[in-house]
Amino acid sequence: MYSSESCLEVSNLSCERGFRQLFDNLSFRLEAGEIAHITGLNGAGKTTLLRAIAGLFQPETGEITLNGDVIPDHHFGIAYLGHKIALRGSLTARENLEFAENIHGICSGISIEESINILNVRDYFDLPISELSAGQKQRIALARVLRTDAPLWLLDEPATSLDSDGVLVVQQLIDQHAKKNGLTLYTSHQPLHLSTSCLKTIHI
Amino acid sequence: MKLNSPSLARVFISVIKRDTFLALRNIGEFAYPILFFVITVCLYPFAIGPDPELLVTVSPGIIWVSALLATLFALDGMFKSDYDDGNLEQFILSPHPLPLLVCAKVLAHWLMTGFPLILTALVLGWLMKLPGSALQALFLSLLIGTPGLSIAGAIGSALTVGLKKSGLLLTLIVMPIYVPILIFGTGAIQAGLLQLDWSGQIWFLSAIVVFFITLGPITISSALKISLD
Repeated sequence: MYSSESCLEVSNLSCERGFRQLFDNLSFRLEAGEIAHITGLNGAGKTTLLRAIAGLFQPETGEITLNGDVIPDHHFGIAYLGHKIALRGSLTARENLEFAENIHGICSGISIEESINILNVRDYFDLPISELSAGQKQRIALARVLRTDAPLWLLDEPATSLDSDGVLVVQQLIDQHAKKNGLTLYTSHQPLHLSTSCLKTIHI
Repeated sequence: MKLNSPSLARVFISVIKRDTFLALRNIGEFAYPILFFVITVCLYPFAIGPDPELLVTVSPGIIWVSALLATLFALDGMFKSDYDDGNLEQFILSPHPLPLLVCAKVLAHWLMTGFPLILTALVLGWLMKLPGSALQALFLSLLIGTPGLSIAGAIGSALTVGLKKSGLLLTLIVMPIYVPILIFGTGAIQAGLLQLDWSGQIWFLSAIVVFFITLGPITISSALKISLD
């Protein structure tokens, strides 16, 4: 369980791409156990918002705090799954996850074996990533997020390329994370049927 | 949240292990700079003539310039793969200091390019009939100078990692930074050829490399963050 006092606060956030204003004065607050679905048209800035919250993009104005600490000065406790899924093609899924564990330095107590079972990736876990399909890679990337045990999950199109069983697994993972007082922000053009009542929609 | 923070040494070693392992798995990419180095040095006798005395006189410049160009060829890929597959984003999100991870990557790069270049240069120097003191100066100047080439090159590589065709810009950024290393590196070998004391050049070279090692990782980290923005 994460702290019940975890909170993400976004205040007056404005982001530009090139010379184009993506969104202006965006403010919202996410408490422990809440899930936010970020919606918007293509190019509205959903990915940019997630990257800004992760500290990977410098917003024009505004402030983002996680548990009172300003991002990007403080990165600790963020799991980010972007369009680039951070898996090296010539390494196996196992090698990629072991490396990620060293880099992030945090472990949820979920062993690699458990994550294999949850994501149902045993058949190809010791194959090089380059030999896997897009959906299989996405499952391995989700296993990385699951293993980091960060309270804040930022998932950019987590159900991309997944089959119906994979989408169900994503829904369960997000629900379980919320039950553990975790915070989740996700973008998805594919509807996710989450059982939690703490779902917010942020339209940009 | 249960913290299981591996020691900084373990993280540092894991990055080196992964990068050297990846380089060895992709043997063509690893061998290319070394082959380039050998071929470039071997072309000079055809261009300027096989006169042994002349070759000995110009060999410090030949070897150092060729080593520099070979390092330059390998620079492009230092952060590119991690940028392309998203691992660079994860490095930045890591709770460990980014300069530490950058140091590990640069060291791995040096181990797979700089270090083999030193060994190859010794063989080429011997083939060019360099006297013992010049060979010693060659070895020491490359041993100290090539880490400087890797770390200074990493600054350019980090600045250009987000660009699609970064090769020419990378060369333009890095070449001026390489000039002091080149001057003192070749100076040491030339002094060795003339049986003079070459410790002064080596100390100057060491000072330059220490300067790069001190400020390089912070500069590279900032450049990577800018490139990802």
